[in-house]
Amino acid sequence: MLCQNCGNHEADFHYSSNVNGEAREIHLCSDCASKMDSFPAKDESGDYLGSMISELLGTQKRTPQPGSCPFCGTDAQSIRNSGKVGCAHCYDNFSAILTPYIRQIHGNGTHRGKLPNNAGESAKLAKQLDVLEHELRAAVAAEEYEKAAGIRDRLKSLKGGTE
Amino acid sequence: MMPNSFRTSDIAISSRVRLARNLSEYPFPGHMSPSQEREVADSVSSFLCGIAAGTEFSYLNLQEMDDFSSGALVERHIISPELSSKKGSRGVVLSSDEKVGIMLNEEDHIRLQVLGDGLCLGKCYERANQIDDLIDSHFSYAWSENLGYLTHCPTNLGTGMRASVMLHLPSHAHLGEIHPLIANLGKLGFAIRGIYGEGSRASGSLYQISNQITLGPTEGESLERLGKVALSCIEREQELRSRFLRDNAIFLEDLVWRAYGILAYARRIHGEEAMELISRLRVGVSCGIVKDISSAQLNELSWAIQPNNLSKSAARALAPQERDLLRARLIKERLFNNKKEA
Repeated sequence: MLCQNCGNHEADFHYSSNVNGEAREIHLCSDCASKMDSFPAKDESGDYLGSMISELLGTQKRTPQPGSCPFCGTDAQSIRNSGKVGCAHCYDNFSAILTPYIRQIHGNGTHRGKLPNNAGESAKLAKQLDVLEHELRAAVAAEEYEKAAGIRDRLKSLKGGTE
Repeated sequence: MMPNSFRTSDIAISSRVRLARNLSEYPFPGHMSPSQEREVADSVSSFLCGIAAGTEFSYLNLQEMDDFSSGALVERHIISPELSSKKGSRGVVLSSDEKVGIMLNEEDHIRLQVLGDGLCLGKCYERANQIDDLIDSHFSYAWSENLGYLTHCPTNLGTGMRASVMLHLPSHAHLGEIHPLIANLGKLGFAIRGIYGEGSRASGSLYQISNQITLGPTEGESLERLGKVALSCIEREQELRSRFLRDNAIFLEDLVWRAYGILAYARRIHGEEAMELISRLRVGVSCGIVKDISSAQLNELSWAIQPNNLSKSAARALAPQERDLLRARLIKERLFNNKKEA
């Protein structure tokens, strides 16, 4: 069997795990295995067992397969098969697959709802602008022009702050 | 005297708002190690059980629960069938009034659900939002600016909010209007399903209508649209019932009283038959034909006669035949207790 990473040398490092019924296998040559930062390192006795156990218990970072999510190990095929991702990072790592799928479900919209505490300042500002623009449209529709003028001023000053 | 109009609360049985949330530092359920699953369930449940949120929370660990007890929670809509059937560290944080259930390690780390009687989507969201803020103040949610709350399944991205209203639509069902309704609601971004959600069939003419789009509209916009759709279904059901009552009152009365008779005198009854007869009784109550039974009693009975709740009340797993006997007895006790014995 050839190394899954370089495809040039015979794989002499074989690693498999089964977490929550999710079986994963990695076959690498010793060169590629030694280059992988997050791979379970050899312990002093020269075996990989201790590292594998800690990996299985989730105390060490999961081993990424080439082309799989480095955080949770999910690969593109499993996303295609299940229609579900493995972790929050998969949305960045597999955006090419997921974006058309998300559009198919929800259309072209982006998030306009509630923001969590850890949302960035730019998201908070965008949310404020969205709410005010919505209020402005409602005020104009209701012919409440004085109120609309006040909202427009607030919008202008908020947008001014971003320039 | 029969009413010409029907109360909304006789048709809208309950409302529900559910928020899907995940903690940023863990992979999603199904991709976590057993120790990570335990960490998520333990940390969120102990935080919620330790806070003063105007309500008292307790944690039900599903790993330690027998099958019919967790099945009984499913039948009462407190947890999902998925949470009940999956393995690993999981459970539900339940409020003392049983209206708030926070499922842990279901499809997402956190599935916060608030139930309410009748059509009350705004109230349900308000309570869900308060609890969501409390959790958010202590944990870091998985989130992105464009996709909103990040969820295991992309169908829940954005607000992560699924709101639903359970409606009693026997006239729609009787006159073949359910299928056109399903098609029309689908075009508008809403789904209509049976009483126990995805994949379940309608029982007792009870249907759940829920929003499908979570990325784009705000929570308020989704709730407003769903509320309008539910109201239009309610109005149509009212119109069909009025027409039925005007054109065929004796037929309707006959249906209702036959249901009343069977429920009052049966010595054993199958679940499906009971749900259908309770559905007819609901119509009788809403039309003023039956005056000594309330819609609230029928709502309560609808889950109490389900298989797992019957086993739970007997404190052992019952065989189907045993359930049919207990079901008939329970209906008699709950609805006809003070009336003359047959």
